[in-house]
Amino acid sequence: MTISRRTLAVAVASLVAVAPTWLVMDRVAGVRSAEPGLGCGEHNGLVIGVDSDVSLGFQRRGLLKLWNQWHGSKVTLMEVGLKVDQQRSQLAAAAQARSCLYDVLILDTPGTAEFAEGGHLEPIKSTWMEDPDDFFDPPRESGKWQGKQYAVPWTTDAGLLYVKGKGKAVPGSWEALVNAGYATQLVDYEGLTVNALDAVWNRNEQQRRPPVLMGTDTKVTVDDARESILPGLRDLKAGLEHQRARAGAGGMAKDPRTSDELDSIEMFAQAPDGTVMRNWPFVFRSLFADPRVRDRFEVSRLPAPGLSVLGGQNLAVSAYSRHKEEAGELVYFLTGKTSENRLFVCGGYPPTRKSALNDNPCQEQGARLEPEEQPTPERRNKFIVELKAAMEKAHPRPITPHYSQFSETFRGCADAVLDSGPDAPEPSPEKLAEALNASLRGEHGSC
Amino acid sequence: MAVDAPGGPDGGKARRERLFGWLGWVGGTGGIAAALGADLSFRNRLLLFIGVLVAVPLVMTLGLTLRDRVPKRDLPRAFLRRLGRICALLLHQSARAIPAILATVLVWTAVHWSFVTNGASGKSCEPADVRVTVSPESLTALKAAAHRYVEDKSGDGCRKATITMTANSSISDLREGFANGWLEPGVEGDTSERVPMLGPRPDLWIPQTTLAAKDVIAHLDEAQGDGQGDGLREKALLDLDEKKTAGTSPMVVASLSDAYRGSGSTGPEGLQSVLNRLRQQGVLDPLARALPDTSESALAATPALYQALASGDGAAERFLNKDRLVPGDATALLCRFREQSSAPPGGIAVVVPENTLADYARNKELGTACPPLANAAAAKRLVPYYTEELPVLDHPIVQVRWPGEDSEKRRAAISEFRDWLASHPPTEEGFRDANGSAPTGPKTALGVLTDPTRNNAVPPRMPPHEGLKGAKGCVESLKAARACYEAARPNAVLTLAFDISGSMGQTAKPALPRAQDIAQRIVAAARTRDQIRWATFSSPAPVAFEQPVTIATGPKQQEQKNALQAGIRKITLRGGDRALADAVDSMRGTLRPGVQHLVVLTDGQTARTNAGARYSPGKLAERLRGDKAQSDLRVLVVSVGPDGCSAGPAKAIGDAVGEPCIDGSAGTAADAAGKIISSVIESTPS
Repeated sequence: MTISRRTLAVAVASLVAVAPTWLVMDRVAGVRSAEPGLGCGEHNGLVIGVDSDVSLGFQRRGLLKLWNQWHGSKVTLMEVGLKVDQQRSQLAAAAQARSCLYDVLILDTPGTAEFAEGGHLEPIKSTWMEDPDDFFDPPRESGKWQGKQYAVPWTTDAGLLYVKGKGKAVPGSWEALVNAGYATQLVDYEGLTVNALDAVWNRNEQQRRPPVLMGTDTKVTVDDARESILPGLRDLKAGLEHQRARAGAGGMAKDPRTSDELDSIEMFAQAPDGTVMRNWPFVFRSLFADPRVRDRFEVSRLPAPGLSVLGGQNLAVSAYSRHKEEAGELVYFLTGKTSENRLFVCGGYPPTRKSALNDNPCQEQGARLEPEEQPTPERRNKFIVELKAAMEKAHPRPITPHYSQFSETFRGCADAVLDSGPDAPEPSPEKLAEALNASLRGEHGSC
Repeated sequence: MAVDAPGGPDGGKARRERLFGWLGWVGGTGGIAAALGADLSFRNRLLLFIGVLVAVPLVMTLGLTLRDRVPKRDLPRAFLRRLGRICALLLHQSARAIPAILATVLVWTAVHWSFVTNGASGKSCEPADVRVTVSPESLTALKAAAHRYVEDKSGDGCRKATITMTANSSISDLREGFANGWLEPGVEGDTSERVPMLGPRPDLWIPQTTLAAKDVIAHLDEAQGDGQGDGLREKALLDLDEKKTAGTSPMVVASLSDAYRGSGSTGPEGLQSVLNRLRQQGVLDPLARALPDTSESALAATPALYQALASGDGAAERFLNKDRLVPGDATALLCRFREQSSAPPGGIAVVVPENTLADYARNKELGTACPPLANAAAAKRLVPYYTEELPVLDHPIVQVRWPGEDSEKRRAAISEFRDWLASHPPTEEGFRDANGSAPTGPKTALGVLTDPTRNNAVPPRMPPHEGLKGAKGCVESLKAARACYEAARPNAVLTLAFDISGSMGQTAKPALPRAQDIAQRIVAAARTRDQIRWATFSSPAPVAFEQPVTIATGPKQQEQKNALQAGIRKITLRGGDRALADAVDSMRGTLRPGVQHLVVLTDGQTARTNAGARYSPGKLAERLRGDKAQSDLRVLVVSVGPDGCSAGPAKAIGDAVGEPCIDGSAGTAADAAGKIISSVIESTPS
């Protein structure tokens, strides 16, 4: 069929009509931004939206310096703050407004689904991910949403147990750990979710029940709530109470109910020998740097069943970036074998790649540590053995685009159990299941 | 070319062309409208769609009329005639294309279904992320209010918003932050590899006073740039509506002792009279308020305090720093009463907002660094005194828009929270309403401040008064108050010396960034004619000094501060430990004689690298005493390491030189800066 001149004229006229109408509506309604000419956050070079760099010796910055030297282009780390929820809030608000400010996003592992579902992430191309088979499976899977890779794992984490005092024994089972009491991070932030899920999963595993609130298992039955979630949260409460009892009348430097990871380290440093703490792998190196601890502690995987929450961060390319190809190259560089190894051996970040988990010495020039401020090769080897074992038992938190709502609701329910008493009963299994299911669907839920 | 009438001589081919043209027009415009308008509200998308429907025949007609080269005088008539024929054709074709129209409408409705069902909320149950910045002193109450809002607005299962609240009330941070993409002061957006932000960019800012909002807005009006920076340093657009307030709260004096017991006094009275009464009772030694550089409420209270102390502004300021431990804000000031180990003396009185005192009394979290006591009964009771001069904080809610982070949907969600908060002031959490009224019964948030043994209960009404009270020239604006405060402080000559050995980057809370944060705040607080320089030390390199900068007046001052802050931010780790005594000794020899402070920021270091007679604190103290040229040098050792000042070389040197080691590891960076600044003020000869 040939197209007549009239049809062509109609089509051209339609386009001509739409363009100015669109421009007018753009200005009136503020589709991109409310004021004329405000733009979307255009910039030169690449921008990464991150939390504050607390890697030992600031290895993240070191990697970016290398990239800038090699590529001649400039990468800027925009550090939102120390707290993960603040970083998520900034990135989510920018994404909701389709801001092109961030080219690369650093996402907490459970955040990938939320951003991918919202259409805020560019699918990862094969050229943006070096040797995919070299990644550990759980972190690699955490970068996927609905079967598609949207993010590349950068760092990973698994829960470890730290015991104060040289040669001190580690509790042999989850039950023994609860009865001994252990320091956790139970202030109202993501750490509470992590510690509560650890407790729920291990209790659940002991009872040989199917997984609950783990990965794609995002439906909670009343039985799950009654048999696994509430008992797990009661374990958490018992561990807290035993820990307080151990501390005696003087109390702890930092109570777990008001502690995050750094507060726990502070408490641990001041605590007497025998004190037990659940924390992440980066703590291993930082305890050596603390004059109150140095090498006077032991570290191990969590006691049997030994399940732990998978932590870590993924790198993703923003769907609104004006520099997607270059951003993809940067993701390739940062998650490549050399970078991963440097982050681990110099920065203390557990790697997401099998090939990077070795005890090569850090080759970094410049800053120097005193011998007592760093672990011996033997301690490093032992640590790697425990870390590998912990990684094998690490599992993802619920994979859902509504993770942040789930986490907030779950924390509220955990709070209700931790603070329960004669005047404040804990939530019923029915209420708990209803609240969690609502939040997992993206609806408001509350215990 | 003429437009053929329906059923004209073109036959089947012409009809097919018309049909395809029509389908293309309806489908194409509908599709374009739907795709381009993806972020529009339902109403605006409808407008866009109708606009396209109207515009297309008009443009078609005009194009075809011009193409026919109609004489100018016949143009209007030819246009109208052709428009009529085109409309007739379209209407005629519309009847024949009803299935296509229905299909288009169905597709359009499916694409827009969420808007049809959810109004402007977008995807089903996709909450907008609303970021709010408040003062640390209001954080607890406003967080609770935000939580209540989320609960209130989730009745149908869908949540309207997720609210993230952060705290900051440093006027200098806020002024520079709003002007520069919410980056920390001194960050060079164009050239730095690392650009720390002050937190998430706020959509709402709730300062403690309208004066602060006006001060920042005035600064933004003066600031260069038009909001179109490099994407990183965008300028914010602030919308202040003075009627939208989150509630009010008066500043009060509080002390551990009840100076009114049995006196029968009722209601607020003059500040001077209150201070005199406290002085007579021996509970005004010292009087402490937070650092005005980082606490907006403390700055607003300063003119009234100067006037009431009636000893001259300089002497008054020195008296307010007598404690030497002036923190960054009132939450840290009150937190000290919760800490058994560093509790302030019984004779101290403090100046704090009433709502923060209510948080303290109700054993709530204070700010970001002071959790509730595990044993609430162990809390010390503080008695409030209400005055006529201390300001009533009015907490305006300022809406903020950031280029690139603004959309209609987000703006609607932000406005909704703003309006809700303005109509639901958090009186359950210790705030008063816009008129200064609040329930003060025994079971209310403010009722806990009432001492049943006293006659003067908490006043049920404390209406906000216009502006500040105090001496003329200090009360016209917050800028004027700041100028008076700066004039009252003695000039300082500071050398900020950074330990850059490897261990400063190894602990879980790395010490170097902490030291940098503290130093940034000290620089931000510098006043005209202060002299500041910075230095680094480690081993084996010699101590490296930067050139001293004498702070100028006017616009140049901010440039100087930015340059100093940028330099400090670029400091990186290098080398190993240099013994502290050795580092101080090396720097002593380089400094010019005169009244000055050497502020050593270190993680404390190990005992092994500080061993040896030469490095002993006693020997260093001897050398300092023996140096006649440096008799006015004060050495302040600030430990930013994990063990603070509890032990180690940092504590030993502080003890030896007679200036106690300052624990810079606890609380916020503003708290640590406050301790250093108050120590400098207190130890500078008048």
